[in-house]
Amino acid sequence: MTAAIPIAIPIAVRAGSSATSGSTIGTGLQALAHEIVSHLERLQSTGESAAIDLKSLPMAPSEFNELRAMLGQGEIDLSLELDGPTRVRETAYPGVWWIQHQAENGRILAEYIEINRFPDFLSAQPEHISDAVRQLRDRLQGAQ
Amino acid sequence: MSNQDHKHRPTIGQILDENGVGRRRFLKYCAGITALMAMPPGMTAAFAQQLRAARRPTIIYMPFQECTGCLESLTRSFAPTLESLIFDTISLDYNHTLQAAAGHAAEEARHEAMKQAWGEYILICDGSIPTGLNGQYGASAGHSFIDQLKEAAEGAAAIVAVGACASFGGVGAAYPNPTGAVGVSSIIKDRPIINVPGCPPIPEVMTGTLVSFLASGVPELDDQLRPKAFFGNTIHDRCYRRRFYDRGLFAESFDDEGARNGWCLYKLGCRGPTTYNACATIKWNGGTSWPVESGHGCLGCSEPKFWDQGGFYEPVTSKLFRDNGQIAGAAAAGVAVGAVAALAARARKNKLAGKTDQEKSS
Repeated sequence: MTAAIPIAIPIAVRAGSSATSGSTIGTGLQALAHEIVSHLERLQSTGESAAIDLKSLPMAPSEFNELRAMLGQGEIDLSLELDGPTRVRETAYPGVWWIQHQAENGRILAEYIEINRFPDFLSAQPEHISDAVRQLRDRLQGAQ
Repeated sequence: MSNQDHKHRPTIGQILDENGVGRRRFLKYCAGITALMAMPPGMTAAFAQQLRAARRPTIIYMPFQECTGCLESLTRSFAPTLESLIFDTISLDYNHTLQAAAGHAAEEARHEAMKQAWGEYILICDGSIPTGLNGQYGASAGHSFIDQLKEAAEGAAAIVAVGACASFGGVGAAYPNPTGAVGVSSIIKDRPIINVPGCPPIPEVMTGTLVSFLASGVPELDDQLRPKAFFGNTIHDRCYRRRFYDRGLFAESFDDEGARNGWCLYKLGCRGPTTYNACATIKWNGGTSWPVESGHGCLGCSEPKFWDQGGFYEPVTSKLFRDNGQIAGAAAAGVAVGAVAALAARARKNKLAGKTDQEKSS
């Protein structure tokens, strides 16, 4: 197997910057905001994660920007280069992540809000861990 | 390679590993696919696992009575690109427009590919099949399209009918349908058929359907055999102009204030309310725009017989009034606002017709 290409992951950790605290949410976004709150409550009580696909919502560009402003920016802003940029941002509301995958030409492949302790995309998947166990064991045995 | 060898083809995961495609790169690719298919983003990891385990399939692409518009669209898929599908995921073993071989060599290649992957390959059909004169309106390599389709379908694991023509007959079947054109499902009854209609279909819907089939087999289909993931909602349901429809704000012409304000195009003939497709969310040309965003109503090209559904610039409920002459038609369609708009449009049309008659008589 060819070695995986190293990925540069610049991570910016900064103070949260939400300008929305206490401000009124427009009616067009209220349903979405309620849905996010509902998912957050479930995450808090049962640990169950959820995601909302933003590409499937019929939003005008202005509403999209309003939603972005409403959720604000949290401490983590992570960029990856994987056949085009991927950006994982924590919003001003801990547990609410804004994830955007772009192609090399800048086209947005997927964009969604994930309500989770940590984004699924960044977590090692069970089969990744199984491979890691096997590879590390093989290496240790080779070294003996 | 025998059929048995075909079953031992490497999995897509093995191919990706050999090419050094990292797991997160693949996960991102799958995130794009699951988003296209309106699957919950949380399903991406499971989808990726299924797709990695799938074997690289053989694809036989058979064009019939068609204009090559669907293939033109398919080759413009942005994500996943056809190139990435061909080289990383699928094996396009026969397409007489794209392949270098021609004539007998091409036909031999097709038969060899079918033999090697008998019962396993995916058959993509493009274009309607003319049934008039016992199929004599369409033939290639000395065989009618009907016979070619039946032969290729026999060994297919599934058939994907791309475009309005292969799905429902399309423009070839438009009145008076001189060649007796029909869609694939009118001829083949014993194989799974997935219709991906459109004139042409959205490229990402075609490639997304193929990848979805690889990961989990025939997807959930609607009553027109279309994947619900892409055709589960009407254009109207997902349209960003829907709010104007709900408020009764319509463009009356293509250059009036309503048109400039981006109001609903219903009165100008938009067929969004009766058309199931993903244009409003996936859009066209790499997500740049789509017809309604460009100021023109939906033509309803992913629906059966869309060429014969009346004028493209009449409200969709007009034909109900023409048939019944009553508001009951609109009530049945469940669009009260639309009923008013349709009556107004009809009145406008009658007024124009009357004016024309007066002009004729004067």
